[in-house]
Amino acid sequence: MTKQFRIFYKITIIILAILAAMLIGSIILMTIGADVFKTYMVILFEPLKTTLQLTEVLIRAIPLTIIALGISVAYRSGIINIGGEGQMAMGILGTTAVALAFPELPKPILLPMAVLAGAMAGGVWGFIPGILKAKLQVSELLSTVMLNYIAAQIYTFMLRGPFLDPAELTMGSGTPQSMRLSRGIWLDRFLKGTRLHTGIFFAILLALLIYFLLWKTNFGYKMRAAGASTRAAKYGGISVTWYLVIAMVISGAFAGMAGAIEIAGVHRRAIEGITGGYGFSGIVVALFGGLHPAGIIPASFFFGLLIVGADMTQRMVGVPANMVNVLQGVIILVIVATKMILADPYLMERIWRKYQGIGKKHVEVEA
Amino acid sequence: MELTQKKITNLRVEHITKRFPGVLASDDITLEISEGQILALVGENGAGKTTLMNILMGLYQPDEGRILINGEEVHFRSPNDAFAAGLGMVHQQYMLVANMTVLENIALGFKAAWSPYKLNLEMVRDRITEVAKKYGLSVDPDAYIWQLSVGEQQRVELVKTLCLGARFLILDEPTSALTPQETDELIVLLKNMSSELSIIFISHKLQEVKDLSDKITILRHGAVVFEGNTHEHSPSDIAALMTGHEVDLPLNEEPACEGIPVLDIKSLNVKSDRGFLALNDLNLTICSGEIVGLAGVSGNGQRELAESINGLRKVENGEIQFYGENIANKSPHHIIEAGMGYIPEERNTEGIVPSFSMKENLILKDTEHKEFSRYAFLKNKAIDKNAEDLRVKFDIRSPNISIAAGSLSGGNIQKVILAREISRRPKFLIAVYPIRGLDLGAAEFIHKQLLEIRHEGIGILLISEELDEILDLSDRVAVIFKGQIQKVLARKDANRRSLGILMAGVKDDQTV
Repeated sequence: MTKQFRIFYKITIIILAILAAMLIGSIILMTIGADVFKTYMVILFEPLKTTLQLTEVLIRAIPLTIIALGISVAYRSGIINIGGEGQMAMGILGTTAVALAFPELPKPILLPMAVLAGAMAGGVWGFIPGILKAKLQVSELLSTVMLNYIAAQIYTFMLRGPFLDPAELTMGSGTPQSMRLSRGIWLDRFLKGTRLHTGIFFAILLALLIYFLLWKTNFGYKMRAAGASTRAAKYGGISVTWYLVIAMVISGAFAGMAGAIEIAGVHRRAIEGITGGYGFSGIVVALFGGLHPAGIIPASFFFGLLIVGADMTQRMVGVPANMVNVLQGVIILVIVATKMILADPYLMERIWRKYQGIGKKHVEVEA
Repeated sequence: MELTQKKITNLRVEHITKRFPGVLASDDITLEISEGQILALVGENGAGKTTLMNILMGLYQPDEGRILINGEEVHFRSPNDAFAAGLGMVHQQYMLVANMTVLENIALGFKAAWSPYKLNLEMVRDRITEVAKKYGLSVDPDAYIWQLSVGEQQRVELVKTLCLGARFLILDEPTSALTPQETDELIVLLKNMSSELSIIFISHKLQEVKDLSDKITILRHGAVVFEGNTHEHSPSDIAALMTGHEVDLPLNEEPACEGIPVLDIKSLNVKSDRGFLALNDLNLTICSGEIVGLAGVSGNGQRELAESINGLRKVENGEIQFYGENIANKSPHHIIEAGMGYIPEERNTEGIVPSFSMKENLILKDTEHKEFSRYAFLKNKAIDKNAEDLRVKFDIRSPNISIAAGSLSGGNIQKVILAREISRRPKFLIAVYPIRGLDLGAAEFIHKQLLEIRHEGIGILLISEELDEILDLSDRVAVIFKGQIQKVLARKDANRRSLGILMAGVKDDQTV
């Protein structure tokens, strides 16, 4: 098989995949009577046109990256964390509690403390399913999802009770939220006129940290071994259950930090509903990025783009944001299917032979 | 279903070629089998035997070449086509439902007995009786599969294949799970059956090839390298043709060693996964510098013994003294650090992490050791060097050291495991079925390595079902039966007959 053929083959598959995704999406859009072409242009390119929109994409990508990094640690260690949503909510509560309790502390002390509190709160929320799985073989699919519900209720309770903004009682915006947090935890917005905050550097730092942890240390080696083959790891003297718990704690702590960064950088207070599905999108981002930091960062950017794009189609072409979620689903399915097709050497071989079909003799010469 | 179609008097494959990405699995293979013949298809792992059989059974389409039955060309687009033409295959793994009876299992594939609302079991029963009588295969149609021994299950597979209309049999390593006695019975049975039909059988074991076949075909790298009549060639000739060089499996000829007892197992009780006592008051002592072969039919507690010594299975009671320390119920990590080496039974799932690279697998047990890590950071250079050295020393045939271990062949995976275990300089080694499924070349290499570390004073517990392997290597042979050591024999007293009888559960040699 020639190199040119391989490249040609891969490009063709990718183009066909894009066309397939576009086609399915077009049918969906046509059923609601939208302008198909315009909708696509808005979703994919409009957010990139102005600096403001671009920074909004990056702002969405920050929590997605952090959560996806944590989820990839869990996934690589053999445990699937669907509890990012709840862990993030707990992280926000931890951060808010510290920020409300010590509003006077200077930034260099308060900010790390608050982020750490968020990480710890999320970590505890990850530890529970981890230990349940290690000791009692409780399926993490069950426990993490259930803990999401519990966390959501605790979150609502705290925001409507102990943390409720006193101003809210008198003025009443309708959305339960905490008091504005002390300036001591605010992350700087370093680009004038935008909301882009220093959390982006923190996210990149965490990505590097995860890369080194998983691939350069013996600790990461053991976590990956435990995830890749539980039995072989056990036979190799690795305490699989221990690493499983640790991985869940790390995963939860990352989701907690994502929450901490989100409120310290964007909202500056805890508000009901700000976890907004990040915990679930984080799973898709992690898998989409190949469970590797180098893939997760661009994947987060892409998903950030889709989130902002969805917002804009609603305003600019009148296509409801929910419809864009449907398109996102289609795009994800097509991409996953494409990856599978590209990874199938047998198919490539078959097509190569069809392609060579006319001169069957040539194959023999090569073989 | 027309069950009394005409016989297959001649099966011929011509110029069969099959390519997989990067591999030529079958290279212009031509074979012919006539009525009543038994053809042995031999070759090392990866020689292309299974690919060829899968083509015959319609699982793969050949890229080139054709198949002729009784002189007529046939095309098999699926296993059903091959089946309709009268070819039947018994796989290495039996395809039987354990909690159904023999009759029910056979009825599963017996479409003629099916009608929309009713299954005509009596029709199936008649057919079984007919086949059993014709070929001398006795089976009890009402026995449940789980009640049957491995040998009996295999007979059910044969009856099943024949009942469904096979007039030509393909057997894939039919003796790999049988005791020596069962193997002998099978050989007699197949010889009798060959008067009615033709058989192709795939085997690694040269002795049974010699005993059973009329013709022999040897494959190497997908091509036929030898064809001939079996009786004209000795097993060692065949072995040389198979591997491409003369093979003599090494023998342990050194005097019995007089080491000190290092592994001393005292009244060990261990439960199986299903909760019954798999080891029942087992006692066994092994000295340094000796190989003790543990013979027995699989499922008599071998797995549980190896796992409990290595801390992977809970010890109910009893002691495992290892260099003066009781290691019963210690963690696997602790036992590894105490100097235990282990070649586990399932090399792909227990011995290596398949998705990890070969070099990563070689440090599986040593990631914390100073040699390979500093301040928790892995030393990549040392890891690479270690892998390069071991690749040369253990003749691991891989394109590079970064290749995923799971993509290596069985023999090379076993060499990776062996390299890791031996290079760690263990004080003791437990080797479970170390050459199962390996070709002669790899088996020879592994046996040589085991004898070499024995010579260095390391004690070895060799668990195997292959009596030849045990007899070749052991200083003493212990026979396990139902979780107990039946008897321990010195090498001079151990032979196929005495071991076979003990393995079958008869304790006193005199009664047979």
